[in-house]
Amino acid sequence: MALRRRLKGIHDMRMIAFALLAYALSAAPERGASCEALARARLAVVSQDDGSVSVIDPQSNSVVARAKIGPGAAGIAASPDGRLLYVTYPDGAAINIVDAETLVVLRRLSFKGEPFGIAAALGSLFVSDWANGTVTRLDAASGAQTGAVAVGKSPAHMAISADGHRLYVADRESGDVAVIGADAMSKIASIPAGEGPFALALAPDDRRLYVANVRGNDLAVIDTARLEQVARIVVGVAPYGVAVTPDGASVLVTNQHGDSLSIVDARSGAVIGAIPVGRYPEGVVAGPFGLAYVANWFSGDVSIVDLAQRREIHRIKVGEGPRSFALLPAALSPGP
Amino acid sequence: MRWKTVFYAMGYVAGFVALSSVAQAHGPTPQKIDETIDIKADPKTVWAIAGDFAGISKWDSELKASEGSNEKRVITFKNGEQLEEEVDEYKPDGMTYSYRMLNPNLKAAPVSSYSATLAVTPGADGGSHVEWYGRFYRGDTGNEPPDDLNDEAGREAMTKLFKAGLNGLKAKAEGHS
Repeated sequence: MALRRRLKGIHDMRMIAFALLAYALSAAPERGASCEALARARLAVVSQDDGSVSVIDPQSNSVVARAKIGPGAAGIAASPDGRLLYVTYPDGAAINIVDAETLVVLRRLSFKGEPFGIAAALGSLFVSDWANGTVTRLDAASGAQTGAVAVGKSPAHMAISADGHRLYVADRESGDVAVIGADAMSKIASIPAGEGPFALALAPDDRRLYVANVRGNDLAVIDTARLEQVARIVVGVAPYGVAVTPDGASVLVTNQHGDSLSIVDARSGAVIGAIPVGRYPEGVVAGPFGLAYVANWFSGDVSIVDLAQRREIHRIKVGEGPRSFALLPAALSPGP
Repeated sequence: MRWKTVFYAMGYVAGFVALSSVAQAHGPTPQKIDETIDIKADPKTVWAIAGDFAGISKWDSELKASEGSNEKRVITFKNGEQLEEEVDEYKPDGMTYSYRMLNPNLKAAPVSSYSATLAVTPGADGGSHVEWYGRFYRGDTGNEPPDDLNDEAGREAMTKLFKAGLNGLKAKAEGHS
């Protein structure tokens, strides 16, 4: 009531407008809503067979750094400031913390189970345990466990909201997405996704969640406010990786057994192209300049796809068995 | 009384083992297989043999029977154990197909899942080049697999199957068998 009365003054209206603007700016996701920041971002790709990480600079589309970080590295996430990389070792029951600039392993955290998917928020890490059907939260600085929650069967990749409060987990063998309140580490919902949900990605505004069903050969679209599935789109064979372009207009899906990248129009749901890439494509990330990067697990390289031209324009070699990407925000670039 | 308890305990353990081996359909580290062969016969001839998806046992000596269609096949190994495989893409124009295993049968092959592609391409001197490659997971995807269900065992079994197949395909296409 008091608030409503206050709204009348023109001065207050201006204050509200200012607050709204500030809110809109603060809500801009760190994932790279700003084109300028994205243009200076770099990409880290982790190679499981080679046990290495390669850093790709989109300015030159070349590998600018590569280092061994331990055999069997599978999942990767970057700290919000882009200074650290967090890498999972499902076969090694460990998580490595890697300096994103020098690629030196700073620390190895042991993890009971099979750590696979990983997501990072300010101060916290979230790790899915494939073998035990749980997601564990760790303090990013100390590595100490600060919470855990049971999810579905064989939790794989995860997506975290821009504000870091909500976590989505693809439960591959139970066919659903677990929605987790990241602060309380409690399960808010379990949304049926399809057959074999493995990878997922949020739209830049967090309103839509796209889930790739590897055995269903389709993409589930979930409304994150209503917490329900609103569409199912047939893509290629064995969709294994998902990304959304920074403008939210296109959803990119790798078809692991079709050696292609599908482009889905986010508004209409139409599949507007299937672009041939390398063998057994897995992780995908939308970079700057209208380009997408695809990790080809079998061919041991990264396909660079021009989304407007709908074709692969470069192929760059990385370590054997590349699986997933992390986007390193521009903050990493050396300061003045 | 005591025997009854032992019996139940054994049943419980057996059930648990059976469950846990099926429960984790996919595991931590995918494995690669990639076999090739050059054949002194034109691609059309080779594809006429290899393109018959359900006829694999005619040229792969690791198998004693196979049946089905160009969409799905059941293969029977020398020990009588069977696996079902389903085609994802069948492209006669490109002389290639991709398929994947349906349910695991560790007695047939010590792998929990796989997918593969076979492709016939023109080779040297009017001959053919055949590549058969794929991706699989070991039979036990837990962190401490027994020797007969680890990555090495899976690799050995898949390599044996693919190598025997390509050698048999070559012999058949070149008219040696």
